[in-house]
Amino acid sequence: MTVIKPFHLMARTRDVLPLLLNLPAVILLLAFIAYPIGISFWMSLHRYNLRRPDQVYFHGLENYANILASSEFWNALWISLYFTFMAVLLVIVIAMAIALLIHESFRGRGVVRALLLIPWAIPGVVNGLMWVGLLGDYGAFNAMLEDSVAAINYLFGINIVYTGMASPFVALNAAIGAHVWRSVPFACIIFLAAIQAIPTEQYRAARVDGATSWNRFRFITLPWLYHAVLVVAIFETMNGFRAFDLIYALTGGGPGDATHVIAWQTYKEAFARLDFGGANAYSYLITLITMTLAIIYIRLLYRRGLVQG
Amino acid sequence: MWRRAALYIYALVAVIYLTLPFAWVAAVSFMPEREVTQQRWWPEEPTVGNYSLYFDVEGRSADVGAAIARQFPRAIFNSLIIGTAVMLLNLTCGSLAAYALARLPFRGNLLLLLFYLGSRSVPGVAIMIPMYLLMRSYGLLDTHLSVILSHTTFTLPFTIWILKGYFQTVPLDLERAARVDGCTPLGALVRVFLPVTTPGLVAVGIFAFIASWGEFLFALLFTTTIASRPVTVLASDFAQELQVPFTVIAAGGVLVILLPLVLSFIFQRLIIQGIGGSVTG
Repeated sequence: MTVIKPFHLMARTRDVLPLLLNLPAVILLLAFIAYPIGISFWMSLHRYNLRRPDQVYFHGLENYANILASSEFWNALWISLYFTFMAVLLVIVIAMAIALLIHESFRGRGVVRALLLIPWAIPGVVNGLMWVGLLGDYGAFNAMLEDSVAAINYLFGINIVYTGMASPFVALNAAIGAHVWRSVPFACIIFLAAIQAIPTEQYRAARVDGATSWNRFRFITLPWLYHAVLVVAIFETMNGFRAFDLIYALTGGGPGDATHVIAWQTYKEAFARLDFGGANAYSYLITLITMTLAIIYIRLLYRRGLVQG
Repeated sequence: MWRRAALYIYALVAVIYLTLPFAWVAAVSFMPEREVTQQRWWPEEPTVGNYSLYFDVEGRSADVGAAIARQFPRAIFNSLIIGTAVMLLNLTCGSLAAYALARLPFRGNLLLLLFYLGSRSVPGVAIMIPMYLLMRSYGLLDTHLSVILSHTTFTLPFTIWILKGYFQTVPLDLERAARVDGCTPLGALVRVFLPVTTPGLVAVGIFAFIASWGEFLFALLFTTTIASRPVTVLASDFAQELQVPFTVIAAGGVLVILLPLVLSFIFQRLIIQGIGGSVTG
């Protein structure tokens, strides 16, 4: 009796066919990601302002030196780091809380799960416009914030003046809140899948041993979720540094430069000042920063021995 | 008993968190303008006036925001074309590549996988200028094609990743059976793998469609007129026009969200299982 082999054990199909099948995807990604990345680096080494297209010349690392010497860059970097750090932290906590809830069995659980995708389905720009309304003069959340500030003032006998989105502090944190709201569902889906993969015997054993529900979460759920948490942290770090559409619609970078996140700053350099050389250097620095953070996360993942293969 | 009650309160808080922002905006979209200034939560005298601005082109052309609103139907049509094309390109290129990676191991497959992963981690702003110049030099600015190509490239790595996971779950026995019946590898993809993994294909397709529908940066850069502008870019004009009443903006927002929202409701189970399973698994 001959054994029928699956395709991958047939010598004939090795190499040629699989590569051919990957060709369309590879061509697209080479043409519209790898090639632009290369050009982008090349341009970042040049003086290239669209206002003076005749004066393009090699410039070495001067664009980078200029950026590193400018206060705008450090301001934008600081804002982006704060934005991203807060966003990653909040997304993980809130998404975990909702995933744990959906994992419980109760009546109406399906409803919660169906509603989970609402924020995710909303485009970033529209999300920004929505929060403009929510936090505007007549907005529902604006009224709530105003009232809670008044309550805090009353309770502690202090006098904080609430100026809404005109305040840099409120604007930046409101942008973070709106960003987090939209990012929670995706993270939640990943956590949910990870929670469902935990073997139930472990919980039963823990219950027999008399572990409290906090200890069950701390010593069973959480260790099983490290991998998922790191995946979400990587995703959300990248998303945080990319935040652009929300800022565009919600604050336009303002008030002042309070929400000049680094993606916004890059966009400004390129399409307001038309300094393509400088903007490309900017975008390279962003890529470098996100890659560095991703490598740190992945190293963490390996150190815990959670990555197999 | 108390545990139950706590659970329901917890669930209620979660539901409020997930829905309240959108619910308020949806409610406002049915309010006459003066009710917003009274900070209502619910329209006292509901009206569809805010919506009619988007469809009654002749009657209300003098209203503030009408210049943007009248372009909405066309912009939604543009978004539909772009989203559908992105979805189809993702499914075609994605399933071919994912099938090879999942079931036809070959020299260099790890390298390809890393290439796909790496290209996903490139931020859009990092390539926006070269992409803009590229599209300009090919005369593709202000066409659907420029947006379709850029959206496809940033969704494709994710699609391949997820579909690869799906194809790996297809039992080897099914593949052997196809071989016995004389299928070529491509024949097996079409006759066995695609039918078996339809839920995954649907999840991935909807995911790509919604991602394209919501993308903003490239769409903003490449499109200049209503011939190609998708609806997210058109809606962003409201952020520049300070005089437009928020009731009108809210109605526009609801119109933009409607399709992705309906799709995510219908395919909710598939999306949650498909995305969750493959990212962690």
